[in-house]
Amino acid sequence: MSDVQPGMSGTAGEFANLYRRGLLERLRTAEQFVRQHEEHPQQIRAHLRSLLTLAGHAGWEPEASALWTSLTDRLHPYPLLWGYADAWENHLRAALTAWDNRQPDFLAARLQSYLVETLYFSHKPQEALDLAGQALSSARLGRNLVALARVAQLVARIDYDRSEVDASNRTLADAETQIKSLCTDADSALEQIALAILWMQKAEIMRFLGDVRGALELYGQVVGVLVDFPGEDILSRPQFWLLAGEALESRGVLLWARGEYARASHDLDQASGLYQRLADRLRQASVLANLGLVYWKTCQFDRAEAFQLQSIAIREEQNAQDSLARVMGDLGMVYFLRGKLDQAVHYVEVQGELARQFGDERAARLAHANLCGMRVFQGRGDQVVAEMERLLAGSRQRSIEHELGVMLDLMPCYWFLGRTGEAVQAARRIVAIAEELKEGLPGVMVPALRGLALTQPVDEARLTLVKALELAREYEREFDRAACLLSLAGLSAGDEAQELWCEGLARMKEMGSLPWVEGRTPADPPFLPLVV
Amino acid sequence: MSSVQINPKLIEMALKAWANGSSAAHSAAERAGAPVRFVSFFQEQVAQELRQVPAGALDGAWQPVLQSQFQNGKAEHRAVSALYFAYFHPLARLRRVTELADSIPVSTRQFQRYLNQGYAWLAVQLTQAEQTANEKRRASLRRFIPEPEYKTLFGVSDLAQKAVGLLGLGALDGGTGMLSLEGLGGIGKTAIAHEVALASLENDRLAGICWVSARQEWINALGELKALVPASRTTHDLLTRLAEQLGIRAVEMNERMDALRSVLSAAVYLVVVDNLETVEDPQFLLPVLASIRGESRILLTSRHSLAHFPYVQTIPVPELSLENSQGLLKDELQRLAAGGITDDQIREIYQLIGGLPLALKLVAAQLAVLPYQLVLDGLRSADRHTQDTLYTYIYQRSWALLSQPARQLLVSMVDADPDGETIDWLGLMCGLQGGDFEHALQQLMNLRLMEKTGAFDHPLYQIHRITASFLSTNLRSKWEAG
Repeated sequence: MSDVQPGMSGTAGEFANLYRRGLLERLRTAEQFVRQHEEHPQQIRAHLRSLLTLAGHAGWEPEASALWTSLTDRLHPYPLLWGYADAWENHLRAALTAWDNRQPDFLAARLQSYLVETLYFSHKPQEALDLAGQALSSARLGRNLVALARVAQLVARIDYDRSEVDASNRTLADAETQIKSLCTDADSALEQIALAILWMQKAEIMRFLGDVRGALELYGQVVGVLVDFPGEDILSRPQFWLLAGEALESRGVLLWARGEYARASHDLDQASGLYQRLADRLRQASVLANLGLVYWKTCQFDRAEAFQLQSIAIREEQNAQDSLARVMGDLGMVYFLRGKLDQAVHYVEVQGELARQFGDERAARLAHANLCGMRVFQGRGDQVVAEMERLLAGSRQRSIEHELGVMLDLMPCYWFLGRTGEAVQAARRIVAIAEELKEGLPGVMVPALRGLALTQPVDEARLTLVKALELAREYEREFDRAACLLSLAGLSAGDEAQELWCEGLARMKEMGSLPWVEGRTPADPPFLPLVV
Repeated sequence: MSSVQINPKLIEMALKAWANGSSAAHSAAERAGAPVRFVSFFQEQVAQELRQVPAGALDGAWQPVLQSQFQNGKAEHRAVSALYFAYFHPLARLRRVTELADSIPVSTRQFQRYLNQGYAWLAVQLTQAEQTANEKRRASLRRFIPEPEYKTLFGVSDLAQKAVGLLGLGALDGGTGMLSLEGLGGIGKTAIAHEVALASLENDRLAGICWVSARQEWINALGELKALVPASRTTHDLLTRLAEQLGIRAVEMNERMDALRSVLSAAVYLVVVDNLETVEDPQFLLPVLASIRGESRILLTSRHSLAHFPYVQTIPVPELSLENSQGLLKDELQRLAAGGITDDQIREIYQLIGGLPLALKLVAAQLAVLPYQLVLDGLRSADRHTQDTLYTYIYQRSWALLSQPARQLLVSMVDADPDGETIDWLGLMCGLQGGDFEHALQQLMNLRLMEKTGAFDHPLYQIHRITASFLSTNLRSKWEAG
């Protein structure tokens, strides 16, 4: 213990010396810590605020520059993914100011590209564009191909976000030319990586312009470089895991929209793994929810439920309440098709409450419409029919797809209420809409025909259901397939009825949807919901 | 529904209403405080108690299944089975009690007894579930409230009660929307705000409690702990953190503001903004808070008065009285096993440093190590014209008492998260090993230069904000001079 003397004028000096002596050592230790825990970024996340504090304090110290840069490389883009974008922006700005003109262009370009990305991520596109010119210039001077590609990609994305597709394409083309002209033989691997970064945005533009096949091909090339490229050290940086995750996620969603569910789930699964590796819980939650939708579409309701529940758990753990509404509604729809109506209603009600709480009118409207549809199957159609008619009037002003969505709930509602004439009219309208949309929505004719059969005399209904069953097989719509079998059992007799019933029952069991058939018999089959 | 309302009769009414299935019955059940979704809860409880839902749901042969269930000897099992077959079995439900009783066979009155036991059993399950839900709710409300810096509080409860009253947090009707606790640094404003937040946990109508501290030292890249970021950015950061606590992850600022306004208007929250003085221009922040708060209540702590804002009511926080200062000093000395100080001696110290809780704690820690007279003489000789110079003197004295490893640890904490770090991280970053580290930690704790916070099984260690200011001032003065 030190002697205690009044008048400790040397305290400040002693303290400052002690601090400065330890600073480099702490920086070195921190850099090693991050490097050691890259496979378990939760450890890094647990100490991110301290790492940012340390990096912030060391940014001014010239002797610390090499270690500081290495730490910054290792940390980027974690702060953006973990809710510290503002702090990271301040950190990068302060360092770039403190080191003004004292860095090689190659390094300056890298830091500037991080800052452009941070600004874009923070929804400050104009500030990102303001800095982008300088960053591109540094990248060209320092021959930093990856920084050049990343900044150009972000500029192109901002143009695209502003609906300036031509400008976006021009930016990408210019950058591609520059990368090729700057590249030497020794840089060929880096060139491939840089080009892949540009192609991500190019693929997005192609998708927007309707060239889905071209977009998928380009995403394939991006994935080939960023995910499957062997032995490139630079790809071990977390920023490339993020890019790879984004490419896989984009391709997965595109495949899902095309009905290529097996490939979609493969890509989304891989994307989920990459986001997990980055400890980016919110992106992971989003991908899991999309996986849930894929399995919902393929009627694997156990898996759909499990993925939606995982997604909800992550969002709740991350306190991302404002993103919960959609996934709660999706889970409600899973329970709906499983026949667990109370649970379905519960989750859709929660969806509505959350949407209203956070001012998300679109989600609130969707929840309301779905709730009405569920009430019909709870035997409470009398309470919601007027509301559904109001929704129908509103939907007609939006789009034919919206109209179809409401009609598929309203038609059975009319039928159950004994409003036969209106049910027949609605069923015919649904078929007409399905005819119009069948190119873009393959398989939509199946629920349309099921609805129509409900309103037809037995013989006609049987023919309609047989046709619907064939289409359901063709488009692998398992829920509709089971529904057709059960309905056909109700229109048949004897062994045939029993056979159809058993086959339908087996399919319902496989999907985990047995509650729909509890208490029912071949003579009194359930009518299952019509979904797009 | 509160626990006092839950009784077997209510359960029976809710189940019957649900079983009838008419819309009128649903409404009746909902009016009776038993929303239909409780039925799912009942179903789950019953299935869980019976281990699995009995087979035979689809082939119509429910009677043998019912008989086999009643062969189980336990009364509770029979009661739950009776509920299951009366309400949930797809083929048996809605049959008359007589028919169910006959199929076992037992008398109708006996079956009704089983059912009554079943209602009572469900009432217990529901009450327990509600208690669990209430505990969860309290935990959810507590999650953003930081751990208290003081374990024993002196002179806080009256002011906390006054603040609760002014904010209308007792009944959530009336009350001011924005209240500021104002006073010197280290005087206990945060402790009072903490008490207000804890008192609000009992308010059933409060949707949530948020706590954001305006201190932003860790984003400063110039080696200083004092916040130097622009006022607008501080406001931006504060609102971002508030939004995160409210579950809003929208990145775009306008969307975030809309969602904040929507959430704070949809329900009543208590929002605590601690250390407002570090926001350089509250003129920027306060109107924003006032415009988005809806019916929610905002509690501010600040060294500077906000009385000139017409929509902010203020409570000046005075220094501790002599009596409370005595209590605090004695409590601190007892913690350090260094009792024996007399009331007269405390009065002498009080005359020198006043009723600043943090200063009293630091001095008490020194008194545990040094002779009383030496501490007193030092305080007499110190320049006590301002609060800053008083603290500087006290901190310099504490610094002089530290061993070299303890100094090393304290200095390394300048680079740590101001909200606290784990012991492993501190050990790693200060470069001390084993016993050296443990002794250093103990010494800093004893001298009140370090505080333990966080959960019992996951403690965090931090330095008080004023301690951090002292350290940064020394660092800065040296750098500026050099």
